This record gives sequence, structure tokens and C-alpha cells, in this order.
Amino acid sequence: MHCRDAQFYLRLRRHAGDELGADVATELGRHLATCPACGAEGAGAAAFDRAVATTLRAVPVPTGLRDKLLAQASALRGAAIRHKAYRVAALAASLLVGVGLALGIFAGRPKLSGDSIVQINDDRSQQPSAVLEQWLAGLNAELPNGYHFDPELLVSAGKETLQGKDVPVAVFRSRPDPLNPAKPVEFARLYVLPSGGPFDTRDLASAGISHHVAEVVRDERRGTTYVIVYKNSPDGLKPFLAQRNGVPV
Amino acid sequence: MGSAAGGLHALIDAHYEALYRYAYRLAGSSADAEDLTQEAFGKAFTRMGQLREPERVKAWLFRILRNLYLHKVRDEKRHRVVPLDAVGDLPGREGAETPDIDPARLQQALDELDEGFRTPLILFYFEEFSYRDIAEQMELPIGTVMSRLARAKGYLRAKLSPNGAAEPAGADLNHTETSNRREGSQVT
Repeated sequence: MHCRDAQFYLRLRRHAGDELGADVATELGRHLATCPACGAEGAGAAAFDRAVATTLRAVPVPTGLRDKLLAQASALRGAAIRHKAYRVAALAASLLVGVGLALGIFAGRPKLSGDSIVQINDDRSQQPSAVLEQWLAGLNAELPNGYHFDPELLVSAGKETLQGKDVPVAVFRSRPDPLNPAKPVEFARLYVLPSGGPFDTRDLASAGISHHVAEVVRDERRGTTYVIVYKNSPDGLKPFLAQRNGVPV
Repeated sequence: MGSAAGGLHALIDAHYEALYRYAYRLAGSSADAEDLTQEAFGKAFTRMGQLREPERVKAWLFRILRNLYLHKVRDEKRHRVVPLDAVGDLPGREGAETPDIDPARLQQALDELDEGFRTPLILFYFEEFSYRDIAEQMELPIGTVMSRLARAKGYLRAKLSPNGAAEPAGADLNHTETSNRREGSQVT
């Protein structure tokens, strides 16, 4: 083997698992044993490789990365399950309607107008703030002071079961981040608990666990307690609040 | 359901650190590395059904991440690198001294390399992929990978040598505007 070939193979020699093949490795070894210059070069190359490999692999992994990836996996998994559930529900509903129609079960009931459904939803989409205001007004409530949720981000306003009791809740999605379109959508919940409601909220306090926080806000004038639950992140509630020129109102 | 979720969690636990380190060395910043890692796992989760050889899941994940990175730099069209042709042929003997590797200089040298040289170099030193694996990831003949590796190592050693300024023959470090289109790599 010539010195130039030896230098080439030295660059390809891996100190953990040689892939050059037995014939090349044997010839290279023989050459290194007899050529002092290439022998020194081989020793230097091996030391250099070890030093670079050690430095290259010494990258500290952010401590929160694993949790973010697990949350992302859970969200995607949940979306897939919901998608399947919707398909099953849609199939079941269509079967039910089909069977009902066939048996005449729905005869005599008021007919649902497709136009009225479209009209209602059209009105809602054009006036999202009105939907939120009407829902809050029906509860004798208003957005808690300092928590101006963006009505455009309202996903639903209805009820949710907490500890066996139905509680009014408005769900808001996070605003898409134009700098990071792949960022997963998050959700914030605004629970509205009137003083005469199903729960004694006098001792209710803000709380937080590893991923979520719950903030308690009291409106003494209306006698209403609000609980805002959202994912614990550096942005806090910012992605859910109304903005003017990019700044939360 | 539970086993599927457990499978995703196991996949993350087994590979996220290696994937992040690879992303960091490719992109050169922790923020980009974190984004790339999350995007790679996100894509992998939705394409799990396309994984033909489960025993090669690690190579599959690395390949997804590299393709995402190539998309990113192609979109930005402003990745400043030493072009492929400028990385010189084998230089002479470098001597037997063992340099102290400065992590910042090492990353800077990697950042300056065209991705076509940087990727095989990183994968070589990670020691987790064979030459064949690297060739498959880059969709190149194994001989091309080995040739690029030899040239890239020569470049790296010259850059990290004690005098520091030594450049390989033909190297043009005037940071020419180059896109990774030279590679012609397939992206997902």
C-alpha cells in the first residue's frame, strides 16, 4: 500500500467498528507498522477522531424537550382518536336517522330547516363577540377584569361536568403563531361559577400542576367566581387574549 | 390504544436525545434543533404506517429530520457555506498532535461546510450509523460518501489545527451564497 492510499484509509477508519474490510485493514496495518510517517499520522488521526467525537456528542439536551414531545404525541394521538370517534358517531347517527325515517319515528315532529342552521351559524361567525357576550349575559357574568379573551378564538360556550356537576365553560383555542406554524394548538377554559351555584367557592384558590395552571378570579360585585385553566408555558394566556397591534389589550 | 400511546412514548424516549444532538449539529442552534426535533417526531407520528422496517426506525427518524432541515435551508435560501467544490482534495500529513477541540470552533467549522459534507461527518462521529446507512440516508453511492467524508475530515482537521487558519487546497472561505440544491437530495 502506498502512503497516499494509507492516508485516505486512515480518514475512513473508525475507532469503533472498522468498516474498511479485512483485506484493506490488514494492508493498512502492515503499512503503518513499516512506515513511521504514516504510523504517526495514524496515531494522530485516531486521537483527533476521539477528540472530535467526544466534543461533537457533548450537546446538552434541553430538560423540557421530552415533556414537549410527549405532549405533542398525546395531542396527535387524541386528535386521531377523536377523528375516529367522529366517524363512528357520524355513521351511527346516519344509521339512526335512516332507521328512524324508515320506521316513521320522526313523522309529526317539527322539521329542521337547513337554511335556519346556516343562518344561525353565519350570524355567529360574523359576530363572534356577540356569541360570547350573549352567553356571559345569560349567566349574569362578564369577562373577568384583565382577562380579555379574544372572541375570535372562541371554540365553544356551553357546559362541562366537574365533580359530577354541570358547570358553564367557554373554551378558547390559541392564536396561530406566524413564526412557528407547526406549533400545536393549545386550549384555555373559562369556568363561570355563580355564588349560588352547585359549588362552595369561598376557599377555592389558584393551583398548578406540572403542565397546567388554574387561576381563580372573583367578581365580588356579581358574586361570581371565574376559574381560568390553561397550559403552563412562557407565553401564559397571551395566545388567547385579544390584541391590538400585537399587544394584549 | 394504550399500547399505541406507549409505543410513541417509547419511541421518544429511545431516540429524542440522539435526534436533538444531530439536529443541533446540523442547524447550529438549540432553538432550531428543538424545532426540528419536534417537527421530525410530529411527522413520524403521522407517518408511522409508512415505516417498512421497524428495526431501522432510528435511521428513518434521522432521515426525516434531515429532509426537514433541507426544506428549511432551501426555503431560507441564505445558508452560507463552503461549497462542495471548494472543499479541497486530501491535504498533506497533518502530524500526530492531538488538538484541544474548542466546541465553538468545531460548530463554526461544521456550519461553514456544505450540508453534503456536514451530514456524513456528523453521522460518522456519532458512530451510530454504518457507511451504508449514511449512504442510504443521503441517497448517494457509498463510495461518494466515503470520498466526501475523507475530504471533510481533512478540512475539519485543518480548521481545528493549532494555527487555525490553515485551509485545505482550493477552499474558498469567502462564504459564497450557496443553496443545498447542489445535493439534489430528495425531500419528503
